[in-house]
Amino acid sequence: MRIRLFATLRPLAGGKHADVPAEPGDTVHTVLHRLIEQHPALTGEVLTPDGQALLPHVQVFIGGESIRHKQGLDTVLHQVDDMAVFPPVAGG
Amino acid sequence: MTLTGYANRVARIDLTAASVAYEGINPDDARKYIGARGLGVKYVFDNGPLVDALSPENIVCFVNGPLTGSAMNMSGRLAVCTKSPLTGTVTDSHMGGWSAARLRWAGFDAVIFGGKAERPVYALAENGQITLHDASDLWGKGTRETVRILQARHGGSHVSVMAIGPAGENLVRFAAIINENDRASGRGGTGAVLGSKNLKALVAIGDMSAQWKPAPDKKDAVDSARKAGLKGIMEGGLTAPRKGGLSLYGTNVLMNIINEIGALPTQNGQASHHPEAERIAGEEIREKYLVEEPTCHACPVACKKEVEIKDGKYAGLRTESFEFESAWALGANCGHVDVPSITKLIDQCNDYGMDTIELGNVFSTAMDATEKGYLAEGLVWAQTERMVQLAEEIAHASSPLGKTLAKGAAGAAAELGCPELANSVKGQAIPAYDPRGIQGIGLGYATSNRGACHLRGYTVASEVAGIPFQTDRKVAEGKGELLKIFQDLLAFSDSMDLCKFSSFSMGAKEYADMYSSVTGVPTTDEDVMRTGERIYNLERYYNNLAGLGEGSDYLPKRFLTDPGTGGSTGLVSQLDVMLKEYYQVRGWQNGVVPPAKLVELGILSAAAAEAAATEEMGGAQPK
Repeated sequence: MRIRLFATLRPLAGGKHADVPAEPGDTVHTVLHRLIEQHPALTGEVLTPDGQALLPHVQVFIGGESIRHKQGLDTVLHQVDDMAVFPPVAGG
Repeated sequence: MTLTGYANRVARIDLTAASVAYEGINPDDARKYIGARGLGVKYVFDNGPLVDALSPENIVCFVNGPLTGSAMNMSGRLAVCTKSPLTGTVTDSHMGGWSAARLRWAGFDAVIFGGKAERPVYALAENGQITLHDASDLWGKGTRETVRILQARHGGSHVSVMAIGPAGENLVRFAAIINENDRASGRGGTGAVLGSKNLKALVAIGDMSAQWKPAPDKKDAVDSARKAGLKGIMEGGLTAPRKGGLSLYGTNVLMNIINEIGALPTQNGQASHHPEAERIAGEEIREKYLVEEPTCHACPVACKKEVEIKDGKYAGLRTESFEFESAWALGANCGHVDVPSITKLIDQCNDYGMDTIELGNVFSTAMDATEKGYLAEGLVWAQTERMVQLAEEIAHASSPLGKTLAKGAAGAAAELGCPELANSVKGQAIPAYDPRGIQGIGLGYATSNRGACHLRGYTVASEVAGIPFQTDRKVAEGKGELLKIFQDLLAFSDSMDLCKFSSFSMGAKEYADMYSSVTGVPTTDEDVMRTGERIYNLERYYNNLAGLGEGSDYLPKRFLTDPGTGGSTGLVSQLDVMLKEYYQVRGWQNGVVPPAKLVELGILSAAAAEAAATEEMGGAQPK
């Protein structure tokens, strides 16, 4: 699946997106681990050091929906289409 | 005066009489309202709520906070407070850069202008004195040339100049005051108030040798508070210099995430998602257009992003700053994502002295009106060359349409016979967050004391970014209480005067420590919130007295009835649910502050409240 990356994650991953193997039934957690395996520079930027939780203020969206308001990292992907990952962002 | 940190010097200038009087800070008011926004609102309140905003009777106050110009991080700001010609409310609009610090180093907590000069003048603040000078040669000039001339005349680039351009002179209702760093007192039409007084600029000469320093026995407390604040900034995932998203991409780091969730008002709110917004986002700007990253006094974040257009008809154009709000207002909101055109329009706003947010909404309203047949030969979506031409006509009041649009989005829409097309509240147009996609910010627009505004209560931090805790942007319940917390906290930080972005890495505890270490007033985080609440209620009370009573808190109908798109497909604002909760939490009666609340917060004495209670408030209609 294609994972779109934003802001400070882009230079770390070397591009605007990453294509990661995924299939329906995978969890977001699984897919993010594959992303980090592909791009080790993202270690510590998306998940906590133990890899078990999303870092505070990092946002992962599936179809515009934050996984924080679904089942978090345990959210199951039903359609393998599009994911967006943002580091902490705010402004005014 | 037992408070430390203040210069304890306020200048009151009667422009009609060309006279200046000096006074100290009222210690009781300083304790209750702190400085900057809070104290400025108190000056405006004491001047009376019924003055015509563009009359000599109105006052305009440049007010520092006790932290302004100090070594505290993110403290390089001042508030311009007045009665707004755009909204009829009290307003405060803050500018960054170095002007605030230099005004403080020139010896002033506040400089207050009333009356109207017989001919154009500018004021010079230096060594605790204000002098008035002829500005006839500057009238008609843009802010850039005005800055160049006045800096050359008074000593060079270390001189601060806060000036209006032709928009202010021509009383454009959303005229801004711009300083030498292209930082703006942007919202609410403060520039028009200066123009109505024939006041071209306030010049401040001061250097860091005049910076406030704590007494030896207070130095440790001040250093400790400063270092705690700095630690939050340096380690914050958002603010860390050259590492955090705000530092690297500026405010425009928001463009993609706000569009992703379907909360980017597009084509005047006809949609809430723009398919190509990424082309004007901070990431794209940093990669292709960024040339410099200047910063404000005492700020390591450097969120300002100066851009240069490399080719095309605007090749060589260099301007500061390509902010999220400006990029949205003048771009996606008007149906295009052309970076050179947006840059040109921002540059015009900075030089003519206009609010980019209101101008973008003026254009999008005119485009909507043209599409719907209210405006013949008007403006069509993405008609960027015509936008540039019209910006000039508005600022110079040089065409009939320019004069109509100079009234702001709400004023222009009313004149064109389509008031429903203006996305405005209390006469001021909305910023870049769609109320359908972020419920709390819609409530924030409705209840803002200065018209639609995201900066009064930035619930986006919680609803989108999860700062300081995550809430669900789609849920209405709980947003009344959440908004009150943000409104009260930011009313306090605005009064110190700290940058809003400090709230991404600091909270009430850090604010309390900073304030108490500088002023010597023992302060807790509860005190911070209570003081913020007092300031917010004083503003609301002013507005109530100015005629904005029940029914003044609302949203444009479009956001209540027309569903959003993209990540907010099918959503509308649930304003009624949120307003009910909000009024309950505030202790207000349908938007009106009851006398008992004014007494509880120390705004009025019991006797004064009793007298006020006997007066009819009047059921004003929203403007």
